[in-house]
Amino acid sequence: MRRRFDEQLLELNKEMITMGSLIEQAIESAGEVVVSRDVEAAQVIMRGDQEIDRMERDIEAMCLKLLLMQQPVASDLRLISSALKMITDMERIGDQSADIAEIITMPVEGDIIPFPAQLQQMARETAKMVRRSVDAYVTRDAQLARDVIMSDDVVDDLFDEVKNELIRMMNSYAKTGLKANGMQLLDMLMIAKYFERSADHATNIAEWVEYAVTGKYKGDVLQ
Amino acid sequence: MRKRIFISFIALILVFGTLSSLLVASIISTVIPGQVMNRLWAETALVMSRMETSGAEAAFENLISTSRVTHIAPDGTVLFDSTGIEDLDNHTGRKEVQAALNTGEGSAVRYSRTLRANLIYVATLLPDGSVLRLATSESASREMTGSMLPWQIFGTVAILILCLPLAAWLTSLLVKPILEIDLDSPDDSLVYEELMPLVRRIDEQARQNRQQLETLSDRRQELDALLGGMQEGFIAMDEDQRILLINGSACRMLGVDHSWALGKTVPEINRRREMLLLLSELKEKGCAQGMMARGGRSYILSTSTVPHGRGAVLLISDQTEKVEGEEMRKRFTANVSHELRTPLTTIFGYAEMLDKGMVMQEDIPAISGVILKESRRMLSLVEDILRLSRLDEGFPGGAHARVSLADTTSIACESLRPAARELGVTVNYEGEEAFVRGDRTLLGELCSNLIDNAIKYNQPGGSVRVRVEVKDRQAVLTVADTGIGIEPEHQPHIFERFYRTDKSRSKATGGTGLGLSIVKHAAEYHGARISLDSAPGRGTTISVAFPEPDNEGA
Repeated sequence: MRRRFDEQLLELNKEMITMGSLIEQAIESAGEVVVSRDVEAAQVIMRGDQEIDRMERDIEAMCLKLLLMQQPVASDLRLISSALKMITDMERIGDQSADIAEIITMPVEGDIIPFPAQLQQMARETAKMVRRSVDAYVTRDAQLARDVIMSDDVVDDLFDEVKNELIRMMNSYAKTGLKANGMQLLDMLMIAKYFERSADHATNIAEWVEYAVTGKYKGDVLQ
Repeated sequence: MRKRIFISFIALILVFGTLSSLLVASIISTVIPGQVMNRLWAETALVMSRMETSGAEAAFENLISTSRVTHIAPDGTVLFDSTGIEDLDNHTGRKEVQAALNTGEGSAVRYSRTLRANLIYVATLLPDGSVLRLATSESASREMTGSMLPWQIFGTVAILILCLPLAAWLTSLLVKPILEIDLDSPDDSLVYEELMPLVRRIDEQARQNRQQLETLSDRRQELDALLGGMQEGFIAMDEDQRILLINGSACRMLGVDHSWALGKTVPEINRRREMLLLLSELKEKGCAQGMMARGGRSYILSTSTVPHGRGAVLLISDQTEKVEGEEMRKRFTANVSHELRTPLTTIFGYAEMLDKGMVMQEDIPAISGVILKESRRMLSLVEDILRLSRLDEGFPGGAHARVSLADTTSIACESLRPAARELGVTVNYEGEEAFVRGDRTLLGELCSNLIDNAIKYNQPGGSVRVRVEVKDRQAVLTVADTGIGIEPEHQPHIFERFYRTDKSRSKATGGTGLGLSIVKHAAEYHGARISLDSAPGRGTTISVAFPEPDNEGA
C-alpha cells in the first residue's frame, strides 16, 4: 500500500519538475524574445502554453486522486496540497509568458523603439526568480525559498524604474512627434507588468515550498 | 531459549508433583481397606465375646457399633441385622459367608444390594454354626483420600513456588556458556562440546563474509577509480530514474554536488527540456540520444537501458571542441569561398571585357595590372590556405632540426625591407644567436608574417623593431611596431582565420587575413608561446617564446 503511494508521489514529483522546467523555459524565452523580437520563438512560447495548461490539469487530477484515495497525513499531505496550489501559480507564469510573446508577435507600426535596459534586466531577474523557486521545490530547500520571497522586492523596484523610464521616453518622443510610438510604450508597460506578475507567482511558489518543507505558510502554522 | 528451558523445568516439576500425589493416593487407597478390615476383625472379636458372656440377644441389643452387624443362621437365614431391615434373603450365597462356612473366616469387598453401596465384609463362623458378619462402608477409605486432595494440591503448588528460583538459576546456569561464546575466537572460550560444530561453522562463514566484503570493496574502488578517471560523465539509474552511481565528470558537467545527487532522480538534478525529453524517449524506446548545451559547452547525451535489468545508464560527453571545430570549419569554408570569389569576380569581369573586345587599347595596361594583382592575391591566398590546412594536420613532414632563429629572422627582415621602404617604414633588426628546434621554412614564414604585419599595419615614417634574444634560456622573438595598434575588443580574435579589425584597410594592404593564423599554428608546432601587447595608436608588440632546445642530438 505504502509502496504504491510512494510510487505515486515519485510520479507527482516528476510531473512537477517537468512542469517547472516548462515554465522556466517559457519565462526565459519570453525574456529573450523581448530583446530579439523573434516572432517564431514567440509563437513557440504561445504554443508551449497549451502544454503547460494540460500539465496543470493532469497534476491537479493526480493530486486530487492522491488526496481522496490515499488520505495522506503530515508532510505528505503538505506536499500534495502545496503542489495543488503551486500548479496554479505555475500555470499563471506560463500564461504571462504567452501574453508577453503575443505582444511581440503583433506587428509594430512606425519605428521600433528598443526596450529599455531596465525591462531587460527585469526579465532576467524574473526568470532567475522562477528558476530558483522551481529549484527550491526540487531540492526542498526552505532557505532558498525564503531567498526567492525576499528577492521579489528587486523585481518590484525594477518595475518602478521601468515605469519612470517609460514616462521619460514618452515625454521625449512626444516632442519629436513620431507616430505609433505611444502604442509601443504601452505594450512595454504591459510586458513589464506581466514580468512583475510572474515574479509574484514565483514568490507564491516559493511560499508554498516553504509550507511544504516547514509546515509554515507566511510564518503561520496552517491548521 | 532461556524461556524454553525454564518452561521445561516447570513442566517437569508439575508432572512429578502430580505423579507423586497420584502415587500417594493410590497407596492410600490400597492400604486403607486392609486397615478397615483389621478394625472389623477386632470388632467381630468384641461382639463374639459379648455373645459368649450375655448371649446373642443381649449382645445385639446393646450393640454400639458403626458397622453393620449381621447374624446369619447356618442355613443362611438372617437372624439379626443392625440396619433393621427385615425379610432379607438367604445369605449363604454371599462370598464372605460362604468362605466363613467353609473355612471359619471370610472377607470380601463388594456391592451390597441391600444397602446399595460398596461394603467391606468380614464373616466369622461361630461355635454354634451360625455366622457373624460385620460390614462397613468402603467410602470411608475414599473419604480419607478425598480429604488428602487439598493438601496434595497445596503441596504441589508449594513445591512449584519453591522451585521457581531454582529453575531460574539452573536455566541461567545452562544458558550462560552459550551467551558467553566469543564468536571471534571460539576456540578460546569455554563452549559445550555439542555446540562446537555450530560455532566452527559460524566462524568459517564469518571469515568468508569478511573476504567477500573485502573483494566487494576492492571492486567498488576499482569501479570508482574507473568512473572517476573517465572524461565522460557517467550516471547509472534504476527504473525510477533514481541515481545509483554518478561520476565526478557528470557532476561537473551538470553542476551538481556528488553526495547531494546520489539517490535523487535524474529530473531532480537536471530538468532541462532536452534531458526530460531524453528520459521520456528512454522509457518508450529503451535508448535515446540527445544534445544539451550548458554553461557555454555542448554535451551529447546518450542513454540506454541495461540489458536484463530495469535500470539505465546515461553517458554525457563533452562535444564543445568538436561542435566548435565544426562551426569553425563551416565558417572557414564560407570565408574561403568568399575570399576566393572576390578576386576571381574581378579577373572574370575584366577577362570577359577583353574577350568581347570592349576595352580600349590604352586601358589594357591598367586592366592587366589589376588582373595580375588579383591573381597574385588569389595565389597567395591559396598558398596560405594550403599551408594552413597542412598545419591543421600537424604539419606532416616538418623537420625538427636545430635552426638559428637569428639567421631566419634576419633573412626575413632583409627580404621585407624593400616593401617596408615603399611604405616609408624602417625595419631595425638586432639580435643575439639563439637556437630553436624546428622547421626552417615554417620558422621563416612565422617571422615574415609577423614582420609583414608590422610593416603593413604601420604608419608612414613608423618603425618596426625586431629582436631575437635568449631570456631564461628561452629563445624569444619580439616584433614591435609603432603602428595603428589593436583595439582591446579585437585582441582575442586576431589569430582567428580571416578575422580583420578593419575590413576596408586590410583589403587595401593586400593581406589574406590568414597571416596571424599561420603564425599561431607555426608557434603551436614549435611549442612556442605567443604574447600580445597592443594599444590603439601606440603600436603592437608580439613576442614568441620558444622552448629551450635540448642540446643533445643537436
